[in-house]
Amino acid sequence: MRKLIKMIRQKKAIYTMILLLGLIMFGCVYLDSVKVTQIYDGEEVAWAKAGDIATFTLQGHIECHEDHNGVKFVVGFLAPKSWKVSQNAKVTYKNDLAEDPDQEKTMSLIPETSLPKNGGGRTWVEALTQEYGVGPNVLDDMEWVVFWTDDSWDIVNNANPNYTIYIRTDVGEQNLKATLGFFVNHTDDGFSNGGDHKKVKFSDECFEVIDGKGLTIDYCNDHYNKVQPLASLQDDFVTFSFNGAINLENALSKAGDVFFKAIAVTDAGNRYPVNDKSAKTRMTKESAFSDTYSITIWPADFFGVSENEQIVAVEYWFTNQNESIVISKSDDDALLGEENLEEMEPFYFEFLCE
Amino acid sequence: MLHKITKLIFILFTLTLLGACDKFSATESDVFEETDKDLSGVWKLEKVTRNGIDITGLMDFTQFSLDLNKDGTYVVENYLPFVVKDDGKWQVDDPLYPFHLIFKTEGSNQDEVSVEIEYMIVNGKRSLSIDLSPGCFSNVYTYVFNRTDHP
Repeated sequence: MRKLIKMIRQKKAIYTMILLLGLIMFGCVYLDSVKVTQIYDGEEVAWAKAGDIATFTLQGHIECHEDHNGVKFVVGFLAPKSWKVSQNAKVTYKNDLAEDPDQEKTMSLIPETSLPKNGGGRTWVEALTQEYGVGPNVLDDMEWVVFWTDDSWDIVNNANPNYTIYIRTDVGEQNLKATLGFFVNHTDDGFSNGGDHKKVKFSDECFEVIDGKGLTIDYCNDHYNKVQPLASLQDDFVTFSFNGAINLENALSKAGDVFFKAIAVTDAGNRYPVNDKSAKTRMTKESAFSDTYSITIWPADFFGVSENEQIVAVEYWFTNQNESIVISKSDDDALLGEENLEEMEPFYFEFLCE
Repeated sequence: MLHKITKLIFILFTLTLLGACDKFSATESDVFEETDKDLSGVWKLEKVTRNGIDITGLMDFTQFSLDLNKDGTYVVENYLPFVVKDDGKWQVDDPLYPFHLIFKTEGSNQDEVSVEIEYMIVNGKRSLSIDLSPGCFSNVYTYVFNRTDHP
C-alpha cells in the first residue's frame, strides 16, 4: 500500500514538473522598440509635415517553444481618425523566417468578419478599443486599425525569429500632436487573456503634424477646454467642456455656476455672440465629484445663424455668473507654460469635416 | 397465449400512434401570414447616440417629434437636425418588412430621401431607430423613437 502511495506521489511530481516546463516553454512575442521619428534635412525629429508620408517602425522578436503552423502575424496601430489609416496606410514587414530576410512583405487590413479566436466574439478593432482605448491620449477621436500578414508562417519549436514592421501613412492636413499606439499578436493566439503573445506600446514622444491646417489639436495633454466631436459642422451636436481638474486652484470651479460665452463666426464674415447667463448657457457638472462642466449645443440653432450662412469657427470662454472670473486660452497657455502675450484670448474651435 | 397478448398490444399501440399523427394534421388556422406594419403615429425621441455614445441626457431632445400621419403626410415638430426639415409625404419600402422610410418634402423639386430603419419591439412597445449624419459625415447619430399616441 505504502509503495503504491509513494508511486502516485512520484508520478504527481513528474506531471507537475512537465506542466511547469510546458508553461515555461510555451513561448512569447516581444515588441522590443517602436520608432516614430522621421528624417527631415538629415535630422531625426518626432514630427512630420502635413500631407507627408510618415514611416513608423516596430522591431521585435519571437521566442518559440512549440510548433505553430499557418500563423499570420497581426499589428494594430492607434492614430488620429483624421489620418484615415485604413484607407491610406501601407504596411510591410521583414522577418528571419523568410527565404530573403531583407525582403519587405505585405500586410493587409483584417476583414471585420475574421474575428480573433480568443476575442470573445469581438472584432480585432473592438477588442483593442475595449482593452486599450486611446492609451494615454486625452481626446478620443482616435482609432485602432489592425493588419495581418498576407502570408501565413510555420514556426518550429526553438525558432527565435526577429521581425520589423513598417507602417507608412499620410499624416493628413490637420495640425495635431498625439501619442501613437502599436500592438502585436498572431492569429494562433487571437487576443487571448495573457500577455505572452500580445504586446502593446505607446510612443514615448508626442508625435506632431506641423505646417497644416487649423490650430494644433493636442491629444497628448489635458487642457481647460475640450470639444467633441473634433470633426464637426453646424448641424452636429457639439459638446464643449471646461476641465477644472487640470488646475484645482482655479477660481471658476469654486464659483459654483460655470457659463459658456461664445461667438460664432460665419463664412459671410458675420459674428453671432451668445453672452446671456441663463439655462441656455449654463454648463452642467458631469458628476458630483467631477470638476468637469459641459454643454452640448446644436450650433446653428444655439447662435441663431441665418439659413444661408455656415459657421466656420466658434470663439469661446468659460465664465462665472457676473464674468468676474473668465477662463480663456491665455490662462490655458500660461498653465502649460506656453508664451501668450494676449490677454483673454478666446479658445477657438474650427468647424472642419474632411 | 402470451405471444398473442403481445401481438394485440403491439397492434393497439401502432393504431394509437397512427391516430395521434392524424390529429395533428395541419389546419387552416396554423398557416401564419405576415401582416402589414403600420408605422403611422407620433414618434418622439427616446434615445440619441453620437458615434455610439449616449448623449440623450446632454440636451433637451424631448420636444422634437415626427408625426407620420395615416394619410401619408408627415409633420416635423420642433425641428432638430434630421434627414428632412420640411413637412411632406412618407411611405415605407415594403409594408410587410419595412427596412426603409422614404420622405418626399412638400413642393420641393428634391428627390426622395430614403433612410434605413429598424422597426423593433422593445419592452412590448414598438420602437423606430434611424441612423443619420446631418452634420459632418464622420459623425453618426442614432435616433431611437417611441410611438407616443399608441403602442
